[in-house]
Amino acid sequence: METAIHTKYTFDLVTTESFKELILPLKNKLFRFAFSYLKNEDDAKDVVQDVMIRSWEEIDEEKEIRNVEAWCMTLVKNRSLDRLKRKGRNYLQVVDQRNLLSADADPLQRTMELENKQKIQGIIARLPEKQREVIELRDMEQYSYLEIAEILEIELNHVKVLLHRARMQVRKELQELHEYGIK
Amino acid sequence: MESNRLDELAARFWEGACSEAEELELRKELLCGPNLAKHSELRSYIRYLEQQSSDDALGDIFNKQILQAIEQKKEISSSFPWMKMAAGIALFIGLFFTWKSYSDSVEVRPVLDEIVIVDTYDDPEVAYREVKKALMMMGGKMNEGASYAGSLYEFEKAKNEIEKDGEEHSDQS
Repeated sequence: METAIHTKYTFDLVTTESFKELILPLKNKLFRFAFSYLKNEDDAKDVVQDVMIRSWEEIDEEKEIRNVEAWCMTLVKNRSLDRLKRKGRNYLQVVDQRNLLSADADPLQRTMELENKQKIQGIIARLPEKQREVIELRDMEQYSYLEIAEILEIELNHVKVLLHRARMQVRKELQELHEYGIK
Repeated sequence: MESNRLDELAARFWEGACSEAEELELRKELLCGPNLAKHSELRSYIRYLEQQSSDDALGDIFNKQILQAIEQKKEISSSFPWMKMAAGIALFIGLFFTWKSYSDSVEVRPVLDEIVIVDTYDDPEVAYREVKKALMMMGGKMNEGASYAGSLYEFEKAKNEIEKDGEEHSDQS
């Protein structure tokens, strides 16, 4: 599991080694977060690459960043939204079609996993924007409430309210799926 | 984990009221514990989250690309101080030569002037003769001027007398 970085960083010299140690491990979190907006692998990859290089430059210029990870996630959010705005796309209507399931699973298990994954992705994708952001950051990336508030630039209590609403909605739709097989 | 505890944690999870430690406990129990039908939707949700978060979506190719980009940026940024230094040196050399050519032109001019004015004659006797000749010429010219001035004085005197006679005649009439 990727760990959050809470330390206050200022560097005299940022080497490639420290980039590998501090910023590179964030790549999958950043990618998933970018993908949750853009629903396009290439676009998400571009955003992650931009953000990683930018963060390296900022640290190299000895700018003080209190929480590198939260700062990177905020950049990913802003850049993804900018890109969506430029392209005029609606991210809520698209569901992730990437096949990221375990290769060693048997065909039946793979099919069930894929089906389950698509259903849950669909449920999350249909949530209101802020609820979707909060549930992805909390449940997928396991950020603390405080970090989520920092990344999304909202109040702590608002984070809790949004998470509560999002999870209740996910539960309701999952129950309907399991009980009646609808959606 | 006891069934009651699991039920309680599951309920709190859906309400968004679990602490971080409680959520970890719940995840562990649902992924590793017995498969209970009443928590099937929560289990499928947690399984989905675990799969997604453990996925290395970008892989090693991305690592190579990003590290290459970083190295390139580093090379460019590390060559900047040298470029700045080179530009500074070039500017300094340019200013130095501009200043030198200006100061040379200012210094050379009086020397040339001195050469033209001073040391016209090397022999003092020749110089004396030349000066005497020049003064004699000036004296001759001044004498000529004085004789002209004398005749002008006579002319002026005659004119004044005529004017004086004319005034006397007009007073008598």
